[in-house]
Amino acid sequence: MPLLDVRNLRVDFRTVAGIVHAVDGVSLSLEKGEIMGIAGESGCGKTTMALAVPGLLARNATVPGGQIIFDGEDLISKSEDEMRTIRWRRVSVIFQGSMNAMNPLKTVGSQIVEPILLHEPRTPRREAEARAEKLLDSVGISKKRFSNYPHEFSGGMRQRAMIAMSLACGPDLVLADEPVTALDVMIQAQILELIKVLCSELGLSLIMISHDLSVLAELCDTLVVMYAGRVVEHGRSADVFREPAHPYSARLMNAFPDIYGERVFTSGIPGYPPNLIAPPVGCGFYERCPERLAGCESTRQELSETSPGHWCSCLYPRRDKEGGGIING
Amino acid sequence: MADLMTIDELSVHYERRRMGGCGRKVRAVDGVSLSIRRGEILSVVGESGCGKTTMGKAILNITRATSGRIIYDGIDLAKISGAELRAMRRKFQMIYQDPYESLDPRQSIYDTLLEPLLIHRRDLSSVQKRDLVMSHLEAVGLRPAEMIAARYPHHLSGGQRQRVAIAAAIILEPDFIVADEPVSMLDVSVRSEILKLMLDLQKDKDLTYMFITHDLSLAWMISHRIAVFYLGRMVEIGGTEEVVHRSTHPYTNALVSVIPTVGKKMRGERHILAGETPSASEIPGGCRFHTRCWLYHDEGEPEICRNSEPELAEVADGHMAACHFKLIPSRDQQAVFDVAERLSKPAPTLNPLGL
Repeated sequence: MPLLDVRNLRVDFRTVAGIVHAVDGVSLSLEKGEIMGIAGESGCGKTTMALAVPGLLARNATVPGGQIIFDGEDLISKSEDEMRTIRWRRVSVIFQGSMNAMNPLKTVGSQIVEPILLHEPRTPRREAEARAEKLLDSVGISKKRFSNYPHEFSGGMRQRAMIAMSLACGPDLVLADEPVTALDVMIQAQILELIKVLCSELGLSLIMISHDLSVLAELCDTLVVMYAGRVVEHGRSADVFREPAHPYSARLMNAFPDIYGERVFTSGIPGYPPNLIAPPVGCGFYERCPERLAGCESTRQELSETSPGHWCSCLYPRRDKEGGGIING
Repeated sequence: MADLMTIDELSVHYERRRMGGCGRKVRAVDGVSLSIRRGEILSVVGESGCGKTTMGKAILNITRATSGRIIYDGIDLAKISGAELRAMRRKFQMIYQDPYESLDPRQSIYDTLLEPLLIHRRDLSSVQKRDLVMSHLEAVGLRPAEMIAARYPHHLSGGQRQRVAIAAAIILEPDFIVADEPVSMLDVSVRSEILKLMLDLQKDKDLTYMFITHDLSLAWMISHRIAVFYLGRMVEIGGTEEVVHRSTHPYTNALVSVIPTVGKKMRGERHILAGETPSASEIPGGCRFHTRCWLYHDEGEPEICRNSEPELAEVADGHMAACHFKLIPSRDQQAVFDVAERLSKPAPTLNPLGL
């Protein structure tokens, strides 16, 4: 049984302009100990999808359909009180922007103690503090920094502290939302290495959200590519990277220079994602797709398996075409 | 290619004042010499705090240099009068990182582009100025120009704003542009379009770029030469392929080694440097990189690294590195990767292919 099984999840946002269908029928499943990457441009619904799992969506969000089955239980039908027992103890989050995610008026140590005391109220304060110190130590921050304030930490250290905080109550699943964006390359490499080590030591399952495919390539077992609120491709990382089946994935991958590849300039993906207030009837990528063919505009293709374990929602997956795989330009 | 700009021993030092205490000297740029050739794209690569932006600003005289000379097209910029300098200003422009902050929110796009013309091109009639604004909006792909001109920055997407910033930079027909992380705030899909625009303009208008970025693979993609900075000093400079694939400075080598390889086998060893870049107000003595240097450890912590600061020295034609123990590219590195063959290829495709 998978640890997390999201089935046909939909999330809507009520806005002045109308209802935005931010997540529009997403299904995915995550095994215990698996590291999954979710990629896509801004606005593709990746963060919304992830925040729906611990029930941390904004007030104007509704979930009109779907199930989030975590360890055999549907989280959608749970009450706020029940969710509180799951949040942080079972599912925790490393939020985007370590710079702003911490309370500037509290010491870093006390902010790590806080979730422990909140979610496990019977823990004596001293024990919680000892645990927080140990957590900080495990992410490479010395005990001496326990009573420092966030502004005394560098960006990389704050991100480490955020990771310590997410592990405070021994969760089974961690959702990491762009955990290394805005950090220096060397610090990025350090944090990714840390996440990798912690996951294997603690047997964590992790969902990592990023717009940066190269970061995901480094870390993830499986990869999900989202576009306009839907999953367009899903498979083992190596497969998706080697042979992206969806034209969008292929172009997204091509947008990153590869220093070990050919030095050719790629065109990026001209155009903009569709308006999700009135999503297109057919393929969401139709407007921008250079490989579109008859039927793409009117048919909404569901995910189908193009090779074992590799799913794609394109009417004409690249494998079927001549010279599949990465095409430049 | 002839040198367009020569920077000689440029330093930018600040006094950082603390409440009640005496100032501490911050050495943001610390004795950098380099020349930029006419028509080239030189990328300046380094992590935050390495002095790359400060140097860019000092070259354009936006920040005052503490010492050193900047010679532009044979003219020493420190020796000319204020009026002459102002007239020269239009020859060099800057494109900033954040298109959300670099444009005045209260100015329409038209006014944003008109402003430099009002200052530097008083010789033009208002009709001519208007035509220039419109033609430049079209040149950067903002069409219909009339419609875009009437808008305000908040009406535009990040990519469109950066196009406006580029139009504003080229409207005075400069020779030299410092682009400070021009695509790092943009979505992946928009990045290549903006880069392509910049490369096309470079070719059409015969521009010279200094491209400041933290992203070595991006620098590899677009530049002729790469200069790597660490803590206010240039530690390596050379042709793009040389620097990326035959790096001789251990810092550059580490930067290359942490670039994710996207499912491919990596060449050579991975060096994730521990800790963080020291503060520019407490620069370590000797080689400033020795506190984080993996080669220093491999070499058994030699005294020379702690005691003397290495100067840039040539390792190959036009390729220089500042290290006491320069790396020699290993044989298997060359076996997997025939550098000689790659280096024989022409400089980057300034007219990008496949479009």
